[in-house]
Order: sequence, then C-alpha cells, then structure tokens
Amino acid sequence: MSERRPRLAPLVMVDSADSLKAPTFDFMLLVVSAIAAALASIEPTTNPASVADAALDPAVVFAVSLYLAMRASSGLASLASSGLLQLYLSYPLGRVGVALALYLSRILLPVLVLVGAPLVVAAAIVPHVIAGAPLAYLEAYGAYVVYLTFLGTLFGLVGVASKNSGTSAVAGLAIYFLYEGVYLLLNVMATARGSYTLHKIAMAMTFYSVVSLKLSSPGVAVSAWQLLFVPGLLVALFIVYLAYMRWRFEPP
Amino acid sequence: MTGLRSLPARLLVVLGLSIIIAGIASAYAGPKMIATYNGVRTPMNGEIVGITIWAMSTSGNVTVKARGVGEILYTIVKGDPIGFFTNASAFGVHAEAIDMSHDIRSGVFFASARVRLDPLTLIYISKKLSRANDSSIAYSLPQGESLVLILIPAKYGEPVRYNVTFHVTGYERLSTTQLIGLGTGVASLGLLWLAVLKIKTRRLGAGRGVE
Repeated sequence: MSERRPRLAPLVMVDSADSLKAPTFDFMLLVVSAIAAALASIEPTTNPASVADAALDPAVVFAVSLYLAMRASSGLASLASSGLLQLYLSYPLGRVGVALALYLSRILLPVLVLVGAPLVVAAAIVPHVIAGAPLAYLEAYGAYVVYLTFLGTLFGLVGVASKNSGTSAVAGLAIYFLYEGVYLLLNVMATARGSYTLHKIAMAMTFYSVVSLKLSSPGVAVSAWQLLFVPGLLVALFIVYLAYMRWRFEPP
Repeated sequence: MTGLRSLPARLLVVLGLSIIIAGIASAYAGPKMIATYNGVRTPMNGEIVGITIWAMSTSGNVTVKARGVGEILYTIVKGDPIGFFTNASAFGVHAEAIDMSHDIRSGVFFASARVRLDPLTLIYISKKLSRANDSSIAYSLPQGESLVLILIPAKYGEPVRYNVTFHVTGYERLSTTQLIGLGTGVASLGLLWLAVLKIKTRRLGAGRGVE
C-alpha cells in the first residue's frame, strides 16, 4: 500500500480557525465593508475599475494594511513565541509546506476576504456596471489583492524574523509608514518639479492605481515596468520568506 | 475548524449589513446627477484662461458658457489633466493661480487657471486645437477623459466669466428601497445559516456525550 502524503489543507484549516476567528475578523470585515458601501454609494461610477477605486481607495486599503501589519506580522510572531509554530513544524509536511500553509491562512486568505467582501457590496450597488465588464472588475480585485498581499508578505517576514509580537507589530507599522512616506514624497516632488517620471514611479508603488488607470483610461500609456514593480517585489519577498523559513528560521 | 466552517454564513451577515448601510448612505448623500463650476478670471497681457473638466469616475455631458472671451479652443486629454499642464510647462506654458474642485458626488474634477504663454506658442496651439463656434461649447465626455478649454479673452485686463455644467450620463444603481431589501434578505440568510450550524454543532456534541 502506498503511503499518503500529508496535505497542506488541514494545517491551513486549523490555522485559519485562529486567523479568521470571530468576532475580531468579523468586526474588521464589517468595518471595511461598511466604509466601502458608504463610499461606493456616494460617488457615481460607470466603469468597473472606478467602482473598485471608489469602494477601496484609500480608506479600505489603509484599514486592511494596518490590520495586516498587526495580524500577519504579530500573529506569526506570537505563533513562534508561544511554541505553536514548533507544533506546526512537527507536522510531517516539511518547513516549506508549513511556511506555505501559514502564508495562506495568515496573509492570502484574509486579504482575499477583506478585499472581496467590500467589492461584492459595491457590485450590489451598481450591478449594471459590473455586469457590463465583469472581467475588468476581477482584474481590479486582483490588483488590490496583489498590492495588499505584497504588504502582508513584508509584514509576515518581519514577524517571523523578529519572533516577538510587540516588536513585529511596531516594526510592521514603521515599514508601512515608511513605504507610504516615500510614496507621498515622490508625489510631492513630482508636483513641485513637474516631473512625470517621478509621478510614474510613485504610481507604480501602488500597483492598483496603475491597473485602474489601464482599465479606466485605455488610451493612457502605462509602462510595463509600472505593472511589474509591485508583483516583482511580491515574488521576491515570497521567495525570501520561504527561504528564510526553510533554512534560517530558528524557533525561540 | 468552526472558524472556517461558519465563515460563509458570517460573511453573508456582514455583506447584508453593509448593503443596508449602502442604502442608508445613498439616501442621505447619494450621487448628484448635475455638477456646476463657475468662476471669474482677469487675464493680463499674454495670459489666457485654462479650464479642465475631468470625468473621473463617470461619463457626462459638459456645457461651458463663457462671457468676455474672443475665442474658445479645446482638446480632449486622456486621464489626468493636471499632468497635461505639467507637461505643457516644457513648451513655455505656465499655469498660475490654479483652482481645483473635486465634486465626489458627481464623479467629476474641475480645475481652472490663468495660463501664461508666449505669443508664438499661442499661435501654434491655435492651429493644433479645435475651435468652438461661439462663446459656448457642449461636449459628451467619456469616463476617464478630460476636456481642456482655452479661453482667449476678448480684451486683456477685463474679466472672463465662465459657467460649467456637468450632467452625469450612463449611471444606474439600485434604489434605496432595493438596497435595504436586498441587504435584509442577505443578512437574514446568513443568520439562518449560522443558526442551522449552531443546532448541528449542538446535536453533534450531544451525540458524542451519549456515546
């Protein structure tokens, strides 16, 4: 008889029970969905990308980023400091498998739900607009997911590297505000110097605005590097996270 | 595992409540189908008045009426009109005293400025831009595009008055009643699902207790 290989799904399910548990997650979900609902019902929109922008940018993106900085970063760190991560690592899945399961349950799944729910609400307000171009709406959803997963991966890496929930939460927030600060500075400099290149760099830092521009203004030229900047960083960080968990991570 | 098992039901409750909030928000501060933007500028020698209307999130019909102008030139720019003026600065076109107004409830962005440019540039752009027939212009603006207007004053040193009206087109949403009805239905479904899950879990627990 062939031996069955342990699967990823049970570990993802077990850890998701903590990362998506009520009422903390539900409260966050209600907050972001309610904000999106209010914003999407105020602004008239006739394009799927604009519907997504009206609902998510910037209030929901900010709220989800802060949530990820606190939950993804300090959640992973507290798993390590409480000894639960050692228990997970004893599961016969290999370090990369456990790292992947934690990535799914702590970062990807919360992002998919926290971005998806507000967009479902926004789509319910203007169903005719979304029905006209559902793929464009999905593309906008994907863009927000990629951007927030990139931030989540950054915070997750900080969490497993620091192994201390307090330190990782503060470090995660500091890194987030640094990123936002650079974005703001580039925008201010772009306006002050009249530099279109700086404006394009700043825009590339928020992947979803590049995708939104491409979707809502098809005539506007969007550079390939602008579209690859954040996804490239995401892939690089993901590889670093897996490599760190495979070779460098030492339980405290 | 109960966290994940109950997630779809909890999600339905949250979605339902949010759709109800959308209904209430749209009743109090829903979209405006008409937006207006008025202003007066006094261009001096070598100056013109620039106006941009950017259909940010919705398409619409723009009507511009101006007084004190000799000629109106216009063009369509894709995307951000402010970027247009920033780029135009490389050709000796300098926007000053920029006034910006974003009407979020109509999804439109207005901006006006006193624009300084040398006479040769003015002659050049006069050839390149379209010309309005009289002192008013009406244009159907698709979403994401901007109408850039250049008002050349009839006489320098005298005021140029303009009145812009933007009528939102192509926007349709569920009514407040429909949103509240839909939200109530979705939230009720979620609550019902949660109740069924709770009963099932209790029965399962009781069964195990008997064994």
